[in-house]
Amino acid sequence: MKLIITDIKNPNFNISGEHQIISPQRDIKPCIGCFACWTKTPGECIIRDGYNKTGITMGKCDELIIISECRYGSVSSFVKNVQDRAISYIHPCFVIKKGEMHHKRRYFNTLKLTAYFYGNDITEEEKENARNLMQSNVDNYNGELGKVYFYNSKEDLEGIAL
Amino acid sequence: MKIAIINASPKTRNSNSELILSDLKHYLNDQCEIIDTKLSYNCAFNRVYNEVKDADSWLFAYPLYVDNMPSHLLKFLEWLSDNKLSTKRNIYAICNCGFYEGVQAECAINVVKFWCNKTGNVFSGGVGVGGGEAFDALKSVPVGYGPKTSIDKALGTIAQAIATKSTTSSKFVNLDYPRFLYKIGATGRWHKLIRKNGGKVKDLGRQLT
Ligand SMILES: Cc1cc2nc3c(=O)[nH]c(=O)nc-3n(C[C@H](O)[C@H](O)[C@H](O)COP(=O)(O)O)c2cc1C
Repeated sequence: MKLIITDIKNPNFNISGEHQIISPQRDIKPCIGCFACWTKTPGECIIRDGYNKTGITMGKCDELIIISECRYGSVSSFVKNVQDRAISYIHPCFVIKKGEMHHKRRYFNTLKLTAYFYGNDITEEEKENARNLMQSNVDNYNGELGKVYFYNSKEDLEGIAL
Repeated sequence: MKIAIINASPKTRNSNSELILSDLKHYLNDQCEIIDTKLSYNCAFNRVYNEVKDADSWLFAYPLYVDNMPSHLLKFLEWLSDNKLSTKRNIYAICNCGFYEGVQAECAINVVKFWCNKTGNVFSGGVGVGGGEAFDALKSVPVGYGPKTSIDKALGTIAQAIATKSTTSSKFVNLDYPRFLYKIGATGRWHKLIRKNGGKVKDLGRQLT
């Protein structure tokens, strides 16, 4: 399955195959840093606003597609909020991988992450940071990085084939 | 010289950011006037902005979340820039990681730098602190000593830059404490927490469908 996380409210993409879209259809609450998703209700966030099960969905996917405005070399705050609320995809305990500390797996799927960033004034440095960020994310998700694209505007993404 | 210190940990209390900031304040001493404020998950942006708007410099202290800053801080930065609310200030950043390596905070420090570039603020230095989860256990260790030596040295350097309204290069620092022991300590804490919540150690890896 493909999981698409986007800050575009009413996305119009041309998506093939089984998929789920997370977009700002309703308000999302920020993570409060309580770690309950690891130690109280392992696997699920305790804030019940409809964005509490993303970690579970990620465990069922083989593709993760992020479509976001690029803000200061980052994903936008909505996409980041969904990510923060989904750390239960991984296990709290640490492992050392490629000489750095990361997390153990909870699920055994491999996510391939593809990212589409948009914005009219994304600098080269910001693009590099956004790419590095996506690489760090897949290192922590134990996934693989696919392509990272940059578009000049949200409109350029209309009808894109995913 | 007025510096606003914004603790942007989402937690309303007992954050590791707070403990790191207390070491930073030791170095700031009384070299400048400090406005101390919080940007927890539930704070109104307007109120926080009104508290800090008279300061010449701002320092954001925040945890590393998914290799980046927490979303509520990113939203605050978006809000400030969309409303053209900050420019020409010196901006400092301290990001603490749960992971051992401070360098994992590099992207998250850069986001503050690029925000400065977009808004006409002056990015004036950052510190990526590794092993942030150890600070609670190090409360009784004097500033600048033991496992905190290298981290506190970097905090001292950024404090000097803050006090003189100058710019310093960003630094990424680790605990002076072996990584494998930090890792064992963390595992022990997760085991304790799940048991406290009535679960078993194996529940930490529970798979939901
Ligand atoms: C949603 C979430 C995501 C996190 N992601 C990371 C991460 O990517 N890398 C890391 O080193 N630590 C990560 N952490 C751990 C925090 O950075 C660490 O616990 C930090 O010390 C918390 O600081 P605070 O008490 O000031 O909020 C994450 C924690 C949470 C709650």
